[in-house]
Amino acid sequence: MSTYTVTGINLSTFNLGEADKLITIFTAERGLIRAVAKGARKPGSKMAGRAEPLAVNKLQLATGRSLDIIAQAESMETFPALRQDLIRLSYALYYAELTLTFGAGLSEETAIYFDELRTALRLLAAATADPAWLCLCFELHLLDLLGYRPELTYCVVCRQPLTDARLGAFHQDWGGIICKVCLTSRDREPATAESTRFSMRAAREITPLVWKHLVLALDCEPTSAAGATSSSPKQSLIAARRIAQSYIEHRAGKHMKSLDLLAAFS
Amino acid sequence: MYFTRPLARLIEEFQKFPGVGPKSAQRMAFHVLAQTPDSVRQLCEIILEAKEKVKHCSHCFHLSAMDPCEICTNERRDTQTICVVSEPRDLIALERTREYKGAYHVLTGLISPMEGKGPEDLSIRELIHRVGSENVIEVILAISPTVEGDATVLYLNHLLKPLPVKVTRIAFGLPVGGDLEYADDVTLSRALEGRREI
Repeated sequence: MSTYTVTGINLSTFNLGEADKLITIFTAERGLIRAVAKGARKPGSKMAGRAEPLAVNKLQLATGRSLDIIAQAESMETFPALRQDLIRLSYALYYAELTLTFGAGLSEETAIYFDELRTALRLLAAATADPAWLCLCFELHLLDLLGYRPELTYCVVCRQPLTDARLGAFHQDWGGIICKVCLTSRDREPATAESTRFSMRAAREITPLVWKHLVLALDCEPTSAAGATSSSPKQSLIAARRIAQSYIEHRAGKHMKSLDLLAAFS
Repeated sequence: MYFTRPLARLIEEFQKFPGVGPKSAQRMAFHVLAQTPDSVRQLCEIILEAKEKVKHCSHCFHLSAMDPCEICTNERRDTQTICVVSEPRDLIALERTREYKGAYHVLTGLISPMEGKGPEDLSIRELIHRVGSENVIEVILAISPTVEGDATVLYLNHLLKPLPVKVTRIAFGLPVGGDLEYADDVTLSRALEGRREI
């Protein structure tokens, strides 16, 4: 039986058989993998703590017939602080759900994304910034890596630079902002307007400040973005996150379940 | 087609049981076929009887053929202490210890954001009502120290804190027979936090 070594972050676990766990792991070397942690549900298991979601481990895996088996696991990071704050824990689990959804599409960027995710979890655990702001930065970095970076500088229809006065609405299919001029002319054409799905709610919420924050978040590292939190109004941040989330769900083609819980707790 | 239709259906149904794979399902199906018609009929009746009679207790949500269940109606139990568990299986594990003599409340699951399972899917509202209306002194949270378990404990603590009741959580740390060298960071840090004088 051949073995290989990877460094991975546990994303989700399912009970398997009497005492085993099936873990979905995002690894720096191979992207998303699934592996069995034998006996991980037994109280005395050495694997129990290492098989928990959000744990970072160095793993030695044995290639199995259908599923690989974890032969050895060395704990690297466990983020105990996340497990003492419900909001931060919910955000961390949302990151895990995002990774489960989009992880397979990151074939060439797995190592970069692995570092991004690990850093994002560290920042969340450190509790130095508003978790909503950190989450927006993480969402936009993920979209960037996936090639879905939203166009926020030029109108996606006329390609004219967007100024505060020209901001129209965010179009999910086109992945960017449509300026006021293009938005109005399209509204005059019923056939075209029907074929496009404008989020009118999102359009109402768009303010120049929201987009400035989005642009800022795209261009800066999560650590330096933390500084912007104190000056950013909460409402704009909430609106920006709502737009980013609806765009992510549109790209994923499914609803992110962990967001429901986050909404309930916030 | 390896199996005749009725046998294939039986194997298919056994495979739906948790932890049962194709091979185990085949073994179970062949075992059923090797039994006498009377014993198979008896098995079917037992399954049906269990399904029809065993329900969640309307008070504590434990599985029982009685409502309220045997534990809730037991007058020798201390009703001022409620031990909160996630599943009936956990309640049975605690009962096996013969250490606890209070009442129980089964949540029927844990908060699991990844599975979209929120507080409204559990019997949390009923627990808060019990604590508010009954003369409860202590609520013991006997919930597994997993990510889902921790999320549920944080949420319950948030709801129970304003009430005049003592909220405790069962101790966790190194398991009996466990090896300190192989313990992970979270287990060790919690074992250190929960240390006690000997």
